[in-house]
Amino acid sequence: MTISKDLFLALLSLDAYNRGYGAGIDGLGGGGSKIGTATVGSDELLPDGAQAAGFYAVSYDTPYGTVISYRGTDNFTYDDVRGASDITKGWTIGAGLTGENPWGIAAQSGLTIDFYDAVVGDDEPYDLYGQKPIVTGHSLGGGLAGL
Amino acid sequence: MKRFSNFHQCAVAARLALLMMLALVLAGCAEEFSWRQKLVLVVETPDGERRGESVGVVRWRDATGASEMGMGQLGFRGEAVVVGLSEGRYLFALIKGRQVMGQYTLLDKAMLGKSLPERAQALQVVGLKGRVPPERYPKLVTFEDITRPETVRQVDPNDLAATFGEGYALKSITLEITDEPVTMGRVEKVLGWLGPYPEPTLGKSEDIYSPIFAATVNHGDFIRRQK
Repeated sequence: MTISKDLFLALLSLDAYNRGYGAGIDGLGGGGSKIGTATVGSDELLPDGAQAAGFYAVSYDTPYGTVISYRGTDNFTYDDVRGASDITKGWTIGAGLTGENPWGIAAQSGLTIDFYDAVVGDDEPYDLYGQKPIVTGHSLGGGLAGL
Repeated sequence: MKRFSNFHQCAVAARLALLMMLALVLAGCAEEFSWRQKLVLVVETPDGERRGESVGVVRWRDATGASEMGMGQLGFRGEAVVVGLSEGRYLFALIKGRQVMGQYTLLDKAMLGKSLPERAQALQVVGLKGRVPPERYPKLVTFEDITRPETVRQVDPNDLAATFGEGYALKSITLEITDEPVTMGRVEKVLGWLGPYPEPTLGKSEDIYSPIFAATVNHGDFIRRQK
């Protein structure tokens, strides 16, 4: 049974919570594993310092092209393994901060761009048909996708 | 212009202060449990048994009120287990899965349906010890060249001989709740190339959707450092 593109992107928005470090569901698999018709990209493009900033994102190869899903809020407080507080490192982007400060407040903004650049690589993000990676995310992840 | 700039700065600061207060309130609501556990690997070799062990800290936290549903935030601090074998070779038991290994190894199956606090309290008993069930074994790896991270290779726990040669076999993997100090420094002595961040992978793939094995192993699989 096929599902709509919007529903599929919504599923990938939630899937970002369950991959990588601090996954909400253990054992779903990393790079090369499948979710529906999408193939999960490996974590090798995750920027250094991502976990320290509470940031996570994953790319997928899908029938719609490349999709990047940014993880939303999964840590309200500081957890030295799960990552920094999404409130101080992520929500603060909504207050107009950009991460360029000594305390790393809003640090997830720069990592969002870094991950996007890493996925796109040296290729132009646009081709003749206006294609570019689809970005999606749930909650804070949706905010990061909108940057 | 200056008046607008001051107003804007005040608005940003006010929003920031509100968010900080929210974070502090939520932090105060978190119920947290932690314990230390020791993972021990024993390997049979042609030269006799070799043993490696590592003590780490597991932390379970419920910051969302979802502990009755068995949900929470799980964490681990410590190192991979390293077993020194002959000819300069090593076997490593990676960290992934360590934060939930205790409940599957040391608790009755009936306990697995209980809430997070109930399971955590049952695990906070020094001296609890058991054999890790095979389906919960940590991932085992070795290196063709210990100085080159991209040469990492997965080891089949049921067939160490295929990797290391005749006479090598995994004898046991056990887990014990302990009050011993956390192990730190053994893995870094062997793997001098480990960096300060957990994210970097040991290798890079030509296609991230068909990654090579080295690209599926991170520095964070070997060490999660204490603050």
